[in-house]
Amino acid sequence: MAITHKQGSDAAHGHDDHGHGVGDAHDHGPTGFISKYIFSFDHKVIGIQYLLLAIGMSFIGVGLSFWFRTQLAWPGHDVMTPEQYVSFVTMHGTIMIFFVVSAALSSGLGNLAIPLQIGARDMAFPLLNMLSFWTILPAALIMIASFFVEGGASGGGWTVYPPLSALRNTLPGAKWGTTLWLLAMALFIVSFTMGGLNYTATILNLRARGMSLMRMPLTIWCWLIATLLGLLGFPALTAAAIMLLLDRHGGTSFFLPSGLIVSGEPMANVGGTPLLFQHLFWFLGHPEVYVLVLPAIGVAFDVIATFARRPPQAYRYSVYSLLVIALLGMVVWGHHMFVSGMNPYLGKYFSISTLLITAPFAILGVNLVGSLWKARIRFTTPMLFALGLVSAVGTGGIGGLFLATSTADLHFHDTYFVVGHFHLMIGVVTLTGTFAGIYYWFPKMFGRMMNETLGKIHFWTTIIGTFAVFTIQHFQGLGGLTRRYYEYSAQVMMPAASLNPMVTMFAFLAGAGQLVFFVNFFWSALRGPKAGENPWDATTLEWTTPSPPGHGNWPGALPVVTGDPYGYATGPDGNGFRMQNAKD
Amino acid sequence: MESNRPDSWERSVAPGRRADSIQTMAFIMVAGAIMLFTTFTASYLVRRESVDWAGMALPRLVWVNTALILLSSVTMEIARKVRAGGAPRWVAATIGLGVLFLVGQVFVWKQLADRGAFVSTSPHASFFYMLTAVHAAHLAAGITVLLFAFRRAGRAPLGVCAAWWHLVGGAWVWVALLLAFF
Amino acid sequence: MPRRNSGSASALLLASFLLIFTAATVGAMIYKKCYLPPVMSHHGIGVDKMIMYIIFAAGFIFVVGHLVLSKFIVTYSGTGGESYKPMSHRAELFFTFGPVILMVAVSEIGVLVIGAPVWHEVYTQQPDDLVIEITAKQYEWTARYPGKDGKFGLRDIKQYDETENVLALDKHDKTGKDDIVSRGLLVLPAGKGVWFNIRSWDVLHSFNIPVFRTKQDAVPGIFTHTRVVPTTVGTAEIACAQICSAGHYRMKAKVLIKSPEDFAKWLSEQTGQFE
Repeated sequence: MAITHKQGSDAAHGHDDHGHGVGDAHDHGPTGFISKYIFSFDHKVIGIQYLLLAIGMSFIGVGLSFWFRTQLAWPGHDVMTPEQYVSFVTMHGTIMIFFVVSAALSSGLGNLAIPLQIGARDMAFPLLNMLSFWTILPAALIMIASFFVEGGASGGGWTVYPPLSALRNTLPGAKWGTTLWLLAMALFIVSFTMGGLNYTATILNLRARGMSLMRMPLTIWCWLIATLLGLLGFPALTAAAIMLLLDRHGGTSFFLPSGLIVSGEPMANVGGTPLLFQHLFWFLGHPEVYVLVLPAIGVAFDVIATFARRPPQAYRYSVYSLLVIALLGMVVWGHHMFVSGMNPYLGKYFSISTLLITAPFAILGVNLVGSLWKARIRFTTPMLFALGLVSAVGTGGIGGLFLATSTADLHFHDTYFVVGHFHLMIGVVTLTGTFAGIYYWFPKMFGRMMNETLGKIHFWTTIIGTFAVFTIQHFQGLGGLTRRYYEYSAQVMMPAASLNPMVTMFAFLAGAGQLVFFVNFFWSALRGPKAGENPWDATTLEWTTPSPPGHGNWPGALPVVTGDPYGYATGPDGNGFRMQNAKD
Repeated sequence: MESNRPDSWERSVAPGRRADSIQTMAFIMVAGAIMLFTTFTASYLVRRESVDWAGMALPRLVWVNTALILLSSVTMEIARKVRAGGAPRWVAATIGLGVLFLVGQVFVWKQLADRGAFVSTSPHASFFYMLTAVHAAHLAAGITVLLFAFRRAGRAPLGVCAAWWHLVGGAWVWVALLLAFF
Repeated sequence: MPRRNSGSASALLLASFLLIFTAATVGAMIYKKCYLPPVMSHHGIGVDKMIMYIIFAAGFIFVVGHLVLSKFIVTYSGTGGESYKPMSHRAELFFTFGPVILMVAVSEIGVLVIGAPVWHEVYTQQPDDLVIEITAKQYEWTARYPGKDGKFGLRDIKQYDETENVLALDKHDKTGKDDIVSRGLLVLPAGKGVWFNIRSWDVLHSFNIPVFRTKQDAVPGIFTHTRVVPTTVGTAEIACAQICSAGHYRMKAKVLIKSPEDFAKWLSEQTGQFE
């Protein structure tokens, strides 16, 4: 493909006399408040905007979960109606996955760290980056607004399986809530796509001189692969959402079969296939799990290397594992559908292929633990979170063995075992990764350090609370407790259901810990001790520029990479470290 | 305020890298669009196995439109090859053919509607309306990009424009064959 | 070289937490017998075997992993001590792929040897199976037995009636005359294979009987299937396992498992829908 290399014909490119070349410094950033903090093109500001959005949305997402956890722990007190229950469960899932975890980790920390770690002045397309944020914001607002339309918010589960989501008379939230849900998701997909295109273009093309692919920090690898997975997966969901919207409002029958009778009323639909939607949904849905989890694992690799004072174990094989995860991740979606009515032979295939994916994940796990071997560990707050992540990713991954086995899934499908498992993976792993990243890169956001004491209180409440909650939920699932129940009355489930008050109490503990983080975040941003250029003695490129980096990231020329990203344990006593751009 | 424009950044990036970035973006967008149309194709093939499937004859105009879009790919190629001097003219021709195609599609819709085939009439009609609309959105995006390229005269990255345009053209041929013969 | 102890308080705290967490998890599993509810079906025993196999395999990895992690956290905290030297390439290969190959082998063999026959049993109809049709609709389960002729009658959606004819059976079809319709109650013979044809009127539901280890979605428009051989006489419950709107939690039905004689007696006492 031939591309013209002549650039800059539009208006602002007019004064090309100002300078060219990679190493140019820019000391004149935007000056007005709006252009600096609101409609900013600066990746660092956009990253912080995403983080703030995620923190805001987490109050709603977590608040909803406290509300329905109260109902589950102490039923019969009119805490909420069953209609509210299903829509709160649905919205909790949607908000937490797309507007908290994805927004904070993929978008927030990714925006902040990617250009800094690869030695670029900004993203490849700063305007697109800004638009990406200003598209997710209305998506979040529409999602919130759906609580206030007739019938309330969508209540069909975050998986919006038809016919429940395709028929507008099946539940109150299906009237308008699901439509708004789909619109908000459409905007989210647009936003994710813009961000993802930016990530890929930036990582592939704007790396500092000397940074070959195998010299990229593992975080960057994880973001790159997660982004590619998302970009290839989301079109499937887009197609499914278009067909679902047409079924809801266009009178079509893509997913609506013949012979439907809803509340005694025969429907006119003919011939659709509800299972098709599930296939399309999970074709995205499963890679989406890796989109969320991989960046967290990447952050853990970086943080552990820094505070263990040694390079990560077997960097190369971690990278290969990530590539294998990406490939296998696209062909295992059916393990979400073992009992959906899918052909049993397909079930067997998906079971076998899904268990294969334990291989690359096990390599990542072994390498995470192995990175501590002969280390000299410093127990800072980010390191604590990263170590917590290692435990969580192991425990959660092991739970996956149960669910990937189709025969065992006959018992576990749609029980609290699934709930506990995916919360460990895309709740605890992602959030410990996010927190490790926030504590670690805080100097690069605000030029200050976060408070370590508060950080440790935050760590211990989070880790004790969440581990207890989700481990007990695994037990409940073993006991056959079905998920998405407003209250329990089946005899066989009562022993498992009796653990609910304990789960709720631990959830409150974990929630209280997040308030400590909230205070720490804002207090430290304004009043925390000033951070130097490289407070952690880390080696990657973001630590070669002042904290916080100015407009353009490096005051002088861009760094030139001369070695591996993890130059730890150097020198005669093994206590030295070598910056990635060291000239030696 | 001036310096807040993204372009002040882009000047700090070597021009070749900027072009590479655009190329990467275009490559992934093409891959994403292929995924989208593949998904629709899979859905179509699953759905047509159902008992109620009844194919309808497509208006002949569809093939005229197909010819138009194929022709536009040719003009796009010429624009890419001749570059600076004559490029704007050929870009304009491509845009014109694209718009003509869209107008033609509207007439196809009208003919179908006159026959009484609406989006909810039959599954085949549902797919026809949906796929043409989704394709039209992709084509409209292509036209928008080409309009920018036209304004930039001979200095636009016509390679990526052409990649997208050929994708849209190829997707249409694919969709038309799928709807007509499967 | 002497080891300096900075950071060891955090190290001990974190390592003890991880060990307590591991011990508590293992202890709870042993004390509560893995929390599994009683099992009352033939394939259910196989499912439990599969689950127990994974519990042991996964439990082993879980415990060993946490022991190693805790050990590393304590041993390698602080500064000083032996300094890091990269592993030899061979050692790196061994530690990367050794555990992985072991893990994949263990899980795949488990699935193929223990899991696959059970999976096959659940989805294969046997010639002498009793066939029962299960119809789900929002918040209700209905069972249909073929009656004396052993054949299910046709349906006619126009004849649907919420109270009189909830399965929309065709009054004019002779084979359907003796079909037995049982709303909210499923009666099964112990020791005999039962093949279920499952369908739904409206949205997705899931035919979930925890004590049988049976779970199969009910999908409108198609029949899904599952097979059960109840082993003991007793009672159980169907509890919907696929979100089906706000009343999902109360979508239950009673299951009675009778001895073959009692079952035959019960069946003979029932009258057909249109008899």
